[in-house]
Amino acid sequence: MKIRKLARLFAVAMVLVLLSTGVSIAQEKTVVKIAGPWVVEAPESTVLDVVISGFEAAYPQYKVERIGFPSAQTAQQVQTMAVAGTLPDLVITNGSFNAAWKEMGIVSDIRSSFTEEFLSDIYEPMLDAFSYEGELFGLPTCAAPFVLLLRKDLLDEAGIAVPQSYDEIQAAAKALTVDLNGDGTIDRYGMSLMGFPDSNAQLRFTVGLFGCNSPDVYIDENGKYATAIGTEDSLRIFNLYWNLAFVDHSIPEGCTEVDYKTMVSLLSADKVAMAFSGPHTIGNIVSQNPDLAGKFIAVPVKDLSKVAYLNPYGFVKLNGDNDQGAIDFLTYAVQNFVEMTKITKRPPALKSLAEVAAREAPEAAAILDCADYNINYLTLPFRNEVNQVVYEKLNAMMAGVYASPAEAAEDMRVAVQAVLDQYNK
Amino acid sequence: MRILPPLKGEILLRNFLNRYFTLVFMLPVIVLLLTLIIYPMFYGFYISLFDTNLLNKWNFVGLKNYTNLLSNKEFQSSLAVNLKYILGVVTGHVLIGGFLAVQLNKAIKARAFWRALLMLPWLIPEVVWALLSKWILNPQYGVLNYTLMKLGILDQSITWLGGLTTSLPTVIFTSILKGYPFVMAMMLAVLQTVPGDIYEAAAVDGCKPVRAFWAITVPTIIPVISIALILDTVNWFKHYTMVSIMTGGGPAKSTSLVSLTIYKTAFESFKFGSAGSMAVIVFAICYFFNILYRRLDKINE
Repeated sequence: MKIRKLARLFAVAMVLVLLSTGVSIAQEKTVVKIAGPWVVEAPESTVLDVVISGFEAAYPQYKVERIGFPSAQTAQQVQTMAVAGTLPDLVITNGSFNAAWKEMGIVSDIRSSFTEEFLSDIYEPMLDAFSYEGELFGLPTCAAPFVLLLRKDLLDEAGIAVPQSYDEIQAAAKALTVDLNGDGTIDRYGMSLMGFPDSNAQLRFTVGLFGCNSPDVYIDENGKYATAIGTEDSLRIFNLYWNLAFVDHSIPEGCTEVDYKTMVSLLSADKVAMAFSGPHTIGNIVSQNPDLAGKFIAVPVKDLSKVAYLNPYGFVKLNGDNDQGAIDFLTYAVQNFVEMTKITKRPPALKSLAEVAAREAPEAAAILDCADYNINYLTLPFRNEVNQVVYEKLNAMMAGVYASPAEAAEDMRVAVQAVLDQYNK
Repeated sequence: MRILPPLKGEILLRNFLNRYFTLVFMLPVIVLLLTLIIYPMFYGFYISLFDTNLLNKWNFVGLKNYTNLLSNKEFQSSLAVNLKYILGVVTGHVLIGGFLAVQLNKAIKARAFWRALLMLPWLIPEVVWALLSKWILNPQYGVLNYTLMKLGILDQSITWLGGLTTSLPTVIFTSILKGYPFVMAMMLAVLQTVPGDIYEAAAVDGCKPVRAFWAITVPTIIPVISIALILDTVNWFKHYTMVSIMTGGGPAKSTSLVSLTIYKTAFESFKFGSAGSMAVIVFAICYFFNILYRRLDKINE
C-alpha cells in the first residue's frame, strides 16, 4: 500500500517536473549579448532601446542583453572579455580595432552571411571601415563624422563666411573670441581644441593632418609604412593649433584638460563657437541646452584638401556564443537605425536612407556626402600605438613643452616613425 | 533522563576537528588567497616571460621583457613620477592624518560628528572623487578658480590640472585629501589605547602639551605609523583611477604614473608580456618598501 502511494506520488511529481521543464523550454529565448558605449550614453541609448525593442518584437525567439562601457574602454573591455571567455555577440564600435582583433582571433569573416544586394546598399567607405584584408567583421549603422562644427548664427552675425582653410578658421576663431559684457574677461572663445591625452584628441588632430595632405600613416612606394607628419604641409595643422592657443588665445585656457565631455560642456554652455567634431555632437549639445537647437551646422574640414573622417559606427560581430542571433540583429539594426539620424544627426549607413537623413538632419546637410571625401585612415594592427604617440605629443605641444610648432611636428614625426619602423622590420 | 552514547560519525568528526581545527578555519582564507592573489601573481610573472596578447600569441622571450625595461625611457620616467607622487601623497597622509587624529582624540565639542565628517573622503568612490575634483579645478567653470578670483587672490584662472608645473602637485593634493582618513583612523585607534591618566600625570609633573606630544603621543603612534606607511605606500604606488580620469597622465606625461604606463602598454599596445614585466618590477619595489619600513620599525623598537 505504502509502495503504491509512493509510486503515485513519484509519478505526479515527475509529471509536474516535465510540465514545468516543457513550459520553461517553450519560454526560453536565445540571448544575444550586445556591448558598447551606446548602452550607457545619452541620447544614443534611447535609439538603441527602440531598435532592440523592434528586434525583439520582429524576432521573438531572441532576448537582447546589454553590457555598457565608455567608448574609450572598448578595446580593453573586449580583450578582457575575450581572455575570460565571456565575449558578447556584438560590440558597438567603429571598426578601428578590427585588424588587431583579427590577429587575436576575436573576430571572424561574416561576409557570406549577407547577400551582395544587401551589402550594396551600404556606403562603400563605411563598409570598408568594417573590413580588413577583404574580410568583413561587422556592419555600420551610421557615421559619426569628424568635421568642423560651428555656430552659424554667430558667423552670420559677425559677417564671416564658413572657413575654407586653416588660415580662415584661425581668423574666424579670433573674430568670434569676444568679451560680451565688457568686464575685461573673454565670455566666448572662437574655438575649442581637445588636448586631453586620449584618442578623441588624436582623431581630431589626425583629420587636421589629412586636411593638409599629411596622413599620419601611409604605405610608401616601397610598400613600407611611412608618415607625412613633419612635412612642410603638415606644419599647417600644427601652426593652426599653436596660433589658436599661444598667439591669438582664441581657445579657452586649459586645452590639455579638454576631453570630449568638457568640449561638449563648453559648446553647450555657449562658451565656444567652433570645434572639430561631428553632427553627433550637435545631438549632445542640444540635449544639454535646447536653446542652441538649429544654431550649429557641420561642414567639411577644408585646407589643402576637403576632408572628413567618416568614423562609421555600428556593430562588430565577435566570436561569442550566438552567431545566428548576432547576424539577425545586424541585419535588422542596419535597416532600422534611422532614429539615430533623427535624434543625433548622424548620417545613416544605408544609401536608401539618404532622403530621410537630408530631411531629418538639416544641420548636417553639408556633410551628408562625406563618404566621398573620407580620409584614408589605415586600419592597422598597431593603430593604437600610433594613436598613443600622436595624442601624447599633441598634449605636450598644447602644454607648452616645445619652442615652436615645427619642433613639435619633428618630435611627433620621430616618435611615429619609430613605431612604424618596428613593424617595417 | 538517559544520555545516549555519541554516534560513531560524531566521534570521528570531533577527533578530526580536534586534530585539524586550525586548518579547517584557515582553509577558506587559504583558498581565497591562492585563487585571488598567489595564482594571479605567479601568472603575472609567467606572462612576463612571453611576447603575448593572452589569446593566440605566446612567444617565449625569457627575460627579454625585463632587459628591455632598462632602455625603456617611458617606464623609467613613470617610475620617477611615481616616486615623487608617492613621497608627496604618503607624507601628506601622515601629516594631515596624524594631526587630525590627535585633534579628534581630544575632548572637543561634537567629536562624533567631526569623526564621521572627516572620514567622508574615504567613503566616496575614487571615480566620483576624481570627477568632482576635475570639475572643481576646471579653469573655465570650476568653483575653485571662480572663488579665488572673486576673493581677489587670482587675476586670471589657473589650469591646475593642465599646467606643466601645477598638474603633479594638484594630483598629489587631491590624492592626499582622498586618502588621509585611512591614516587618521589607524592613528586615532592607537591613540585611544593610551590612558588619559598618563597625560594627567605628566601635566601634574609640569609637562607642557608640546612636550607631552613628543614624549607620550609620538612613541605611542610610531609602530602604527610604520604599518600605515607600508599599507599607504603600497596602496598609492599602484594607484590608477583618479590620475587616469583627472589628467590621463598629462600634460606631457608629467603625471604619468607607472600604473598608467602599464595599463597603456597592456590595453592600448596589446603588449601584455611587457606590461607583466613592469608589474613585476612594481611588485618588487612595493616589497622593498615593505622590508625598508619593517627595518625602520625594528630600529625604532
